[in-house]
Amino acid sequence: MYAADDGPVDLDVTVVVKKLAGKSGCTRMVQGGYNAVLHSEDSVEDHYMDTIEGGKWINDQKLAWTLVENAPKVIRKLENDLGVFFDRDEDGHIHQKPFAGQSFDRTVHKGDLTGIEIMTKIRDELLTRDVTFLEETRAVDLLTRDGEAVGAVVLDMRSGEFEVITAKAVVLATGGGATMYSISTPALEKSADGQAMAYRQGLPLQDMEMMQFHPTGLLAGDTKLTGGVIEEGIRGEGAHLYNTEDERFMEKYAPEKMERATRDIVSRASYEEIMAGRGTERGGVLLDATHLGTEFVEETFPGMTERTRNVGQDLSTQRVEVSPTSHYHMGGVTIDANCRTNLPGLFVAGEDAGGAHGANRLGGNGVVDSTVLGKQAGQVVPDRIEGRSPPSYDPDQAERIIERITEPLNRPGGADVYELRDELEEVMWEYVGVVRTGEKLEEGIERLVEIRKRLEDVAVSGSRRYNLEWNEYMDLENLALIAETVARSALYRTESRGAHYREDYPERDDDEWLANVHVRRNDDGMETWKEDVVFSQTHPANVDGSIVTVSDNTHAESN
Amino acid sequence: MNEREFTVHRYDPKVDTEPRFESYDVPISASTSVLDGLFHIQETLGENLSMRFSCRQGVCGSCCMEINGKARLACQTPVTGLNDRKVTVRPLYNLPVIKDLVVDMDPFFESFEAIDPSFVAEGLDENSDPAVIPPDSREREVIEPRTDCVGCGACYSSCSVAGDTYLGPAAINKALTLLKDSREMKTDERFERLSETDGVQGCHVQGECSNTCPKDIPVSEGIQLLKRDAIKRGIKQRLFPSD
Repeated sequence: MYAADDGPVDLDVTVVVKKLAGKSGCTRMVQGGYNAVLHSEDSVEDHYMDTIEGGKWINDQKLAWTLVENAPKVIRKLENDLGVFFDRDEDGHIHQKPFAGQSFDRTVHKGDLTGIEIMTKIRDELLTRDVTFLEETRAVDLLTRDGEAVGAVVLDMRSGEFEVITAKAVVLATGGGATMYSISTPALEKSADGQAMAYRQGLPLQDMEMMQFHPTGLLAGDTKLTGGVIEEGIRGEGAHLYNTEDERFMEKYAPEKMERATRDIVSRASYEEIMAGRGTERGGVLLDATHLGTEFVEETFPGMTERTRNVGQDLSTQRVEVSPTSHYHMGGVTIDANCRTNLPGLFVAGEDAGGAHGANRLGGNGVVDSTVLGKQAGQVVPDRIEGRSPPSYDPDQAERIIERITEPLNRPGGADVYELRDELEEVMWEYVGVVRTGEKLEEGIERLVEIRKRLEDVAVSGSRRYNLEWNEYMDLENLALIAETVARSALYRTESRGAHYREDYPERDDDEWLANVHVRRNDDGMETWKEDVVFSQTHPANVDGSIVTVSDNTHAESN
Repeated sequence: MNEREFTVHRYDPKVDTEPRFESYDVPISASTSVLDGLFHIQETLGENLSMRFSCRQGVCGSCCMEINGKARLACQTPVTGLNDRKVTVRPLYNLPVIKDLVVDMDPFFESFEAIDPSFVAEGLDENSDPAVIPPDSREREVIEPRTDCVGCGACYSSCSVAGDTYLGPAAINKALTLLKDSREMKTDERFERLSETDGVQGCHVQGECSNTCPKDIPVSEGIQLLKRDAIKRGIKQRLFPSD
């Protein structure tokens, strides 16, 4: 949309969507809301500092600044240009509610179904624009030539036919792979496709060890609903967490902020309680909102109330079972503040990209990420492609990609893809989960390597048309690859910070680890290294003395 | 463990001359949704069924299908909540079948396009402050519940007239949210479009759209509201043509 508004009129935009347009991925699932500075008593500097403090100081500071600086503009664009209708205060101004880890009540929302409103209005707008949608079509791999991105091989899932799309610019925005864990929140089709495609081209990924666990995933037994988020607005409004001994256990872990502490702290506290035998039979703790009043809970959180009722529980009248649930990947492809990568012609936006949130993302900053980075990419792409004439694609490369992906269809028999997927999720939960140790991680890596090896024996049944088993195979190929980058990065970081907790290195170590872990493909496999954080906007030494220096140099640079 | 028999529509138009129904035994508990049952058939029984899903939380509207004679979101339909011992699942009506339970939603979304869903507000842009609109204002009260539409197509499937001769309930619901929005400017064009033969007058007031909507949106009531508005506007234009 931004590309069409700001760019040359003859821009030819094709959107490849894995599911239906506007109905795929996680922005649509946003319950809580959108952090943006709108109030005169709030400031972009405060939002920035909350984001950096939340990220434990390893954020890419330019990216973080880009997010918070642009968030108010995007909110106004959504409301005023697209007709999104956010909730209002009594006086008619946009309502902003409290969210964990924030110094000001700045979360804009529409009930607890904020994402539907945003994605529906974006889709409505695009329906009337000259944009080609390829729905239920998945990007399989990037095409490159002479060190440039020149397009992608995509698969039309309905027909089972492959297609080569050549382009002057490719923007990856496929979402992350938190679905690699057995309890997780995202849309089921998400499988780190963008990160895997970038990795296969040798691009560096960063902060892959930083997988955020949301503290309150609904536990509902053997159903796909397990893991779905009970969003933290409810803790913002005053809901409490109890163990099975009726103790409000956050008193022990975060006596000041209690349940409003950041996600990493609350997740770990719940995990410790569960591991210490003070959890429920299903392995959860109890979230209690009943003291807020049935009517209040029903009215304020209608979506969540309904979902708990659908699995035989009721948030508005009883304590519900929750567990930490894999939610959001802070790590991803290394980009600059304009979504550019090391590969000319390739841009990455949203959860596929790393850096903005450091070691932990604040609730309400996720949809800021997807919309602001979408805007950055949209605004910069038209400039980038003007006059660009990338080389034509290499048909042999396309052929090799197609061969690799169709191989399981030709095997007469072999491993079962769903069993392998379950195994991946269990290995990640157990060995690369909320609390990690070097020993467990090493074992986890071994198991992951073995799973990736066994993928080569998977056989897929049926024709190519709308074949979910085949699709699962492609998901698993990407997820298992990215899972290994997560485990290796987690092994490399010998300290605890944000979402990454090492029982064998329980302290945060600023002397060694104000740094980002990077991982990339090399001839021998995966190569891992670290790079010091560049304090381009604020230095941690300046904060304790309450001096914050934020330079104003970054967004949408023209170079 | 408890079991239920799932009877599922199987059809590949490229190969099969006609659809068939096949039955499967599915273990269930209090938290098993119809979507979970279908996943069991897919993953454990190895049936390689084609179905559409995404969020499994009732917000994407992808897994809408006809379950025991009513269009519902499979992920939000607990099996134990169905009165019958049997679960019968088929794709939505009024839309072409791609395979098994998957339909082509294009006709449904083309009806949205027909009412021109893009939002145009005069004097508001990304540099101006959002409009001040009290939460208890009439427009907010009309619009708010209606924007919870997840675009699942349940109303379209249950409507006896949706198709070539009638835009269908969801598109008109969308038009209503725009028409009642004081920020939005394309009121005349929209009323004109809705006054065409496939517009609001195409509705036969059977109320199935409201009965079926998984988000409890009063769709039918909204259509009747627009019919009255359209008539009033018609009268006004005849009496005061220069307005």
